[in-house]
Amino acid sequence: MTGHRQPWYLDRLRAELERVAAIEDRRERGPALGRLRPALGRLRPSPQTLVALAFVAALVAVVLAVARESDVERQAAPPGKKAVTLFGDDVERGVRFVLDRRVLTVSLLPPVRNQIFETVSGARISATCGAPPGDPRRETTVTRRWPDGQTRTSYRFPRDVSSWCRLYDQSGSIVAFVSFRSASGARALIAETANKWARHFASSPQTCTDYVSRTFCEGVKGCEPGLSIRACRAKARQWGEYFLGATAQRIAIRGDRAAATLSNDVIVQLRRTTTGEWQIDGMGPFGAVGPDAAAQRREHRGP
Amino acid sequence: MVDHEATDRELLLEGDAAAFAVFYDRHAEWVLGFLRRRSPDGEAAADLAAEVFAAALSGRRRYRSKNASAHAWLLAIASNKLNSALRSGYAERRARTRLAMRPVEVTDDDVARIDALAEVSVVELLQDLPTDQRTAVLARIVDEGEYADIAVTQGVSEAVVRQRVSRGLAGLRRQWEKRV
Repeated sequence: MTGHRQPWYLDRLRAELERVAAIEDRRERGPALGRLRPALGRLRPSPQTLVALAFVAALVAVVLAVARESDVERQAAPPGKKAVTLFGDDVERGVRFVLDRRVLTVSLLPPVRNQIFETVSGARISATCGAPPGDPRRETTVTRRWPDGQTRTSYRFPRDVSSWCRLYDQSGSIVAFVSFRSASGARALIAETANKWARHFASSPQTCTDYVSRTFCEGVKGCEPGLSIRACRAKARQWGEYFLGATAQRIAIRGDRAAATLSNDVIVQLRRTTTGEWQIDGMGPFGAVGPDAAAQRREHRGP
Repeated sequence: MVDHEATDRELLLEGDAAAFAVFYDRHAEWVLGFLRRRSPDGEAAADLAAEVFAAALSGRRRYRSKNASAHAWLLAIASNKLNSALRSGYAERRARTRLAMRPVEVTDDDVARIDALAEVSVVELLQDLPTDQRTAVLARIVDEGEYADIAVTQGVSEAVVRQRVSRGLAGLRRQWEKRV
């Protein structure tokens, strides 16, 4: 009888090396920089060139990562319509969204927040995307199980979604949100919101408008104790006049928060809503926010 | 598909897992033989060989030499690993740990084959000699023929036979030193 003969040591070592080499290959294809390394070695580029190459490699990596997970038979972009990969981070939740027309790749940014990871890992998570912001007719939702223990997953939409995306857990709570707008686009939106609010507030000191958040609206509409309604309205009108002709001069954005300095030196604080719009959420350095808001308003002729 | 005619350099820099396997097949036996001749036993040599190829796999994209053959590169890795093992008394596992490689057990049969790899075959070395030198060396050294008889058999002068034997032996010596 002939017994089973085990491959000899070098053959078994070969099999093990092939196994780990295949894993290495997959890892290299992920960031794609591996392919550039030999070329970089030959070229011995300057640090500036390396930085530029790294940037290009990062872009290529993201595009490759998305392309790999999308269907093979994906259609080419229609003539005249430029295919653009959109990036966006939900800074607060540490979630990155990469949208390549119909394929949305969502990844948890390192360091991964435990709460987010526990929420998504192994759970059925819905991605709702659409354009323009807030238009329910153009929303599309895709639900899939987030791979257990993974920090990244992809959703494929039946048609192009190009403006914003939200992730929901099974209870319907928003897990993360992003609006795919360029910084300049966000600035234009913020300036528009601030200017419209200032014009509106100057003509009619109505605090609760579409341009402000509910929290802000509730916080500023109450008059000081002891003032009659007439006196309160007079104060409000006076405060409103302070905003006549005021326009946004400087804008700073950090994640979902922004601040706009108006031409009357009032700084309004804005927050991006879950539908991608910006709303005024506070005022400073004097105004409606903070424990001494009333004193500040009095000092600056506010109501 | 892996091009089996590709140089070591091409296999390392541009190849994938299958290309590395071809590279491994080219070099595994001589590396293991080299390590066995300098290690206390077959198991230690096998352990070192695994570490050498793990290091080669990890560093394949950083292969900087202009040489198409990676013989010298691999020899340098093997020598470094060997020296480190001789100093510390054990083969390091750094490269294998980095790759999360599973241990490959060494059986008694493996040890016997590894020991055999350490033996340098003179017949193999002879194959590398030019035909006229090989024939002269075999006739003079193995068959113990006289120079005059060999000269007649081969249809050349005795001086030419002596020269071929001398050059053949020098060539064998060089091959031997390279292998051992």
